Amino acid sequence: MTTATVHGITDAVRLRNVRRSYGNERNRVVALDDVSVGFGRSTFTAVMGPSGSGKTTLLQCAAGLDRPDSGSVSLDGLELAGLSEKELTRLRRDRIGFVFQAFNLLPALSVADNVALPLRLAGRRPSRESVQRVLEQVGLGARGEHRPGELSGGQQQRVAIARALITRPAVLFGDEPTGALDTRTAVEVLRLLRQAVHGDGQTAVMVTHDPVAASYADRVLFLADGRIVDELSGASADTIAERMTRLGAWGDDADAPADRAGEAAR
Amino acid sequence: MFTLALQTLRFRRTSFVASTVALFFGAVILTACGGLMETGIRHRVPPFADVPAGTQQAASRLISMSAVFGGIAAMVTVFIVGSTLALVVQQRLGEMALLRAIGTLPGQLRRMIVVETLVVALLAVALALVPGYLAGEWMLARIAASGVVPEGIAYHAGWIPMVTAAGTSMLAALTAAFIASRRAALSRPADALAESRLQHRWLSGPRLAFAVLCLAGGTALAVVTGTVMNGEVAASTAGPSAMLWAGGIALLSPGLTKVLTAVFHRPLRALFGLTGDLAMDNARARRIRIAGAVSPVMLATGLSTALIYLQTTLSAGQGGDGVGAWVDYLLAGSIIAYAVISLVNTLVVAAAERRREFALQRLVGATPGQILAMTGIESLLVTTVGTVLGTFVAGATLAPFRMALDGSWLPRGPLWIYLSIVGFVGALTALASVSATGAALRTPPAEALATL
Repeated sequence: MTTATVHGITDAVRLRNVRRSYGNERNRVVALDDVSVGFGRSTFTAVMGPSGSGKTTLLQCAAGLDRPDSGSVSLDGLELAGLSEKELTRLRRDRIGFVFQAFNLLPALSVADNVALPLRLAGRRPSRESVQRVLEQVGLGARGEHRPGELSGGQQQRVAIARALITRPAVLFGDEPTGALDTRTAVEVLRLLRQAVHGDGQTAVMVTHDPVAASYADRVLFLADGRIVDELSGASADTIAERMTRLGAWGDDADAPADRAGEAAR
Repeated sequence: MFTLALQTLRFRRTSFVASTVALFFGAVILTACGGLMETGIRHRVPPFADVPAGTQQAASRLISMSAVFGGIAAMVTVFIVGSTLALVVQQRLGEMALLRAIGTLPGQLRRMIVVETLVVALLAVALALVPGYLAGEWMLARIAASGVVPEGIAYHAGWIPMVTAAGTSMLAALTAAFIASRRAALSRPADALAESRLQHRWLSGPRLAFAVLCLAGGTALAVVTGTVMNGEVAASTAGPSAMLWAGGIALLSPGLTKVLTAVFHRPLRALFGLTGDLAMDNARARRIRIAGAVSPVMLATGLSTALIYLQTTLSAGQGGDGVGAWVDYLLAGSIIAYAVISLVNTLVVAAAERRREFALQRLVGATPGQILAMTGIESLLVTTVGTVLGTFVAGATLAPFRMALDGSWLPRGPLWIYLSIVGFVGALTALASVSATGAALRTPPAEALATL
């Protein structure tokens, strides 16, 4: 476990005044509006918010998949703004793990080959044992030779976590990693993420709209209209759900034009 | 990446069928041309040529014919294999986005696609050598039987044309792979992840540049044909001008399809009511896909009409040269065969891709008959747009040619040839898309939604 305490780089990921908008002049959507936030090492953070609140953009900017219009993102003390597309790709390969909502695995490769892929892409040949160890960590030690198509949705997500963990990344990003799973399977995946953070000192950031999923995180950030509007620590699913409901009313209430106008003017 | 490429090939065998068939076909033609060329050289060039002058003359015609035919075959192979490979890449865009997201460098992605193609090409070329040898022998026999070359010319195809043909085919395949991999490699991962299944952007800088070059070249050759050339020689500029027109229009086909779809929107809607309306909405949303099917229709109708009527116009005028007619008819035949491979592949892939969409439509109440009718109207649109563009290509080639001959605009020759080309391509389009849709509809809708 890394215990860097040098001032300024204690966060695994840090966003400063990040803005990102899409579309053209006439049809502009502001996905992130001056967001500043840090994700500490060995912490598990959930990012919540209604659809269109900028969750996925936040994650993609933090992970070097997308570039902010302005502001800065640093990962493991490294400033991303100056990196070329190629350098960003190498950074993702070596320092970042990804788990997406679905379609995480290459259907043509066996489970073991999928897990080994990031290392193979880096030109290294991982030992059979190291792949086996990660697979056992996610409870799939006996499935290495199977194809992803032969596994259930939950098992596939666990393979994706194994693939993300094998490089021992600085951060593990999850974009709705349990979004396509039933409640019970989702819990298995969430426990696994929690275990990676609290047992092995990994750092995890997860975007979700499920209060139960978010309750497995140490900290929950609430995003609305591209801004961080609230934050909870160690909250229960009920508390989170209740906060989300108010967020939805605040963000989506078309019957309160005065409020919205006030918000826009600010 | 090598392992990944091999695993992908094993896993997605069926996706690569069209590319393999197209490459096999191209390699057969190139090998046959190589054989004919060596035969010609052996009857023409001093160390071997212990033959009468008449035979020598026939031999040089054989050489130039196989050079022209082989060159065009190589070009068309790049084009068709490139488009079938691009479709395989397109089907796997999600996979490519994932690979980019987890840290695959653009160069690594490109190498993967090139290795896949290399393996497919090795297989296709190895299979093509013997049939290619035999095809060359057959072609020589046909040419001899029609009296263009003397019976005395013996077929001779040694290892040199084989190796050259294999090398040219591999080169064509790799060029195609390089073009097809460009989009996957250049896409930024966030865009690729977010990209819906529909493709919107199609015009890139190089594409526009090539299109402009092709169309400018086609126009220049047409002007030369109509003004400078006269008589039989005009055919030597008219043929290449057809190729350039077709190439330029194929490159711009998504844009042209959009314009023509808008033109046909009202009549088709008036004719077919709601189903027509739905079909036109689909066509507008999926115009890149529609353009992918329009291109082979345009190629088949345009090029074969142009090449065949060049000969009929010529022989109606003053009786053309036999070898030239042979080259043109063979070319027309093989271009139609290529277009068939590409067309059927595009339509079958498109229907398989839309399994989910069809399932949704059925769940909201569309009957299988309505969906079949809808895809039927879409294929009617494809045929119409492709025929309009193809007729333009043929017209742009034939009009200046006839001008060069005797000052008229219209090509000479029986109308039924044109009508049967259009009818054949249209029937094939309808058959391929309706039967592929029918296959997609066999899965119960709820199941189709669950598995995808």
